Amino acid sequence: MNRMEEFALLQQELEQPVPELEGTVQRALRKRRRKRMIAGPLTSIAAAFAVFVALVNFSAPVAMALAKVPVLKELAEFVQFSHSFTQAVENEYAQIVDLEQSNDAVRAKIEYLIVDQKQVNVFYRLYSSKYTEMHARFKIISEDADPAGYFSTSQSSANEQDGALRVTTFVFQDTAVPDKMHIEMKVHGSNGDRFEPKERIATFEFLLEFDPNHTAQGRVVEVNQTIDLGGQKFTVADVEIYPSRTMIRLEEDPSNTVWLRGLDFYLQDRDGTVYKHAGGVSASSGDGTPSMLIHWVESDWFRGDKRLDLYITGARFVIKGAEKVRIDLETGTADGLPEGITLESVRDWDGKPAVTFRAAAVGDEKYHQLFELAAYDKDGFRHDLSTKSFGWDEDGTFTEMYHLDDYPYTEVWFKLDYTDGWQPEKPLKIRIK
Amino acid sequence: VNSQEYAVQAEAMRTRLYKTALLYLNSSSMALDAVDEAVYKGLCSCKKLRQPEHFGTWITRILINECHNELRRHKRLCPMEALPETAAEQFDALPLREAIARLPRELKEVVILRYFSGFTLTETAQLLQIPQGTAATRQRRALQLLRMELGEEERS
Repeated sequence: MNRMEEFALLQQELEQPVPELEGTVQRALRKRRRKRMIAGPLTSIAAAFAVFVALVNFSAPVAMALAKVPVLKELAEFVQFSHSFTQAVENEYAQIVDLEQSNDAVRAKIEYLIVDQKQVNVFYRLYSSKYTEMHARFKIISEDADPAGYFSTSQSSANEQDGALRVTTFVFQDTAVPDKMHIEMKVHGSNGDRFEPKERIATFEFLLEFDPNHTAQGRVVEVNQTIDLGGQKFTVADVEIYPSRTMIRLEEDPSNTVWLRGLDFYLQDRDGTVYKHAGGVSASSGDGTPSMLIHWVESDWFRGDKRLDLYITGARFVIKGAEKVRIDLETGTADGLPEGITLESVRDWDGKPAVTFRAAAVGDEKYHQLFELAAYDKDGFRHDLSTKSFGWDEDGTFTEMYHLDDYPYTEVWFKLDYTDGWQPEKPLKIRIK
Repeated sequence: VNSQEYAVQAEAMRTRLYKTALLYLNSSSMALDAVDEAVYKGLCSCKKLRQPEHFGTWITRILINECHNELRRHKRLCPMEALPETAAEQFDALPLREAIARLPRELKEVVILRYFSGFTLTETAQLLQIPQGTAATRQRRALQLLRMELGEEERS
């Protein structure tokens, strides 16, 4: 097929009806109505909240009293997955809020915030008698928000129990957290669907206001040490430490033949306490490169200014120009798989194709991401995937299954997260402070 | 333009907006979000639009801003590298849709607006707030890279 035939075909494809566009204007009208309705009451709630936060932060008796409140005990139990969050709750750093929105399908409550200069962690609940599985997506809609200045990520799954605590995180990589922000929560729901719920059942808006003492905190430690990871040169530029997470910033040498897609490492302080990835966003790219140069890890903020070392135990690369793998869904065969990854199966799963790969685990992790969570068709068009599942075996290998929901073609391309790896004989140690 | 007039015009434009966003973002879910946000922002500021005949270029301008926002937000987690203009062979090897997605931003804007969103060269230049000669140069360069032989004023 030549380019002009491709052009004609693409024009035809773009003319196909898109059911999700139904109601676009009505949604905009409803959103504007909601915004007008809540503008007044939210301001009052926010003012009350600001006074309450000030009391929590500056009044020891109030804070001690709050520690005995059962709801904070529940938060403390919920955040056990994160050393930083646990420390934040134990040190009375969490902010209590009481914001609620509802419609006839779902009720959403935001109850706690853990905020610092680079992150806003929002703890919330969803209630519904109509939907068993719900998933919320968040966006900042403040008029002065820089859309390029943050990204959001959810650490909760769709099938949490009704009313269970969930958390989502806004990460401000290059800018600082504002003193307040207006956020939008889009809730999707389903009943018994194993895949991520797709039907949008509510769009809520909340105004979050933060204590300036929290959003102003952070420590930057300059490192500027160049390291060799299997023949590829990187520089550990600096480390930024905040109450809820630590950010390690790398720079890459332009002569490298690979992009850095993953780094296995941990931080260790003088007492031997180890700080690792905490779930949610663990890495993100720098400007203008597919390399993951910003790495996020648990924080030692509440343990004071103790000595801290970085130990690198491995790295994953993708060779520049060798990112994609083709899978034939009819014959169950693969082209372009790198050494170390095999195609386990192509099978039918609930009437839809599912592709499973097997690979060896790296370091202490039982599994890691092999491919981007997206499928590409023969035209290179990206189809977002909502679900993949992992399994692991005692022999040190793991499987990763990609569910091709609503993917109509018989061949599919996946974009590799890595094609090559590096592991030192002993961890590479870098003194941070 | 009042809200009622806006609703009618936005309804008529939504598929065209979606096509533009889809090619821009190369992702259906991101394109739907961008269209939703653009239609909402357009509604909030439609009173400022004094000339209804410019509705198409005006709302598309808002959409393009939203597409940039989506792209920048998403890029941090799933970065996609734009190919440089010198990478002619790599563009040749890519399917058309991906080749468009990986054009440098200023070339991508022009080719999408001209050949998929249905704007003339004059409208495209107005919409992007660039001189018409610059739009024409970018159009020629994009078509060369994509190896597409389309006329200067050809419309979709």
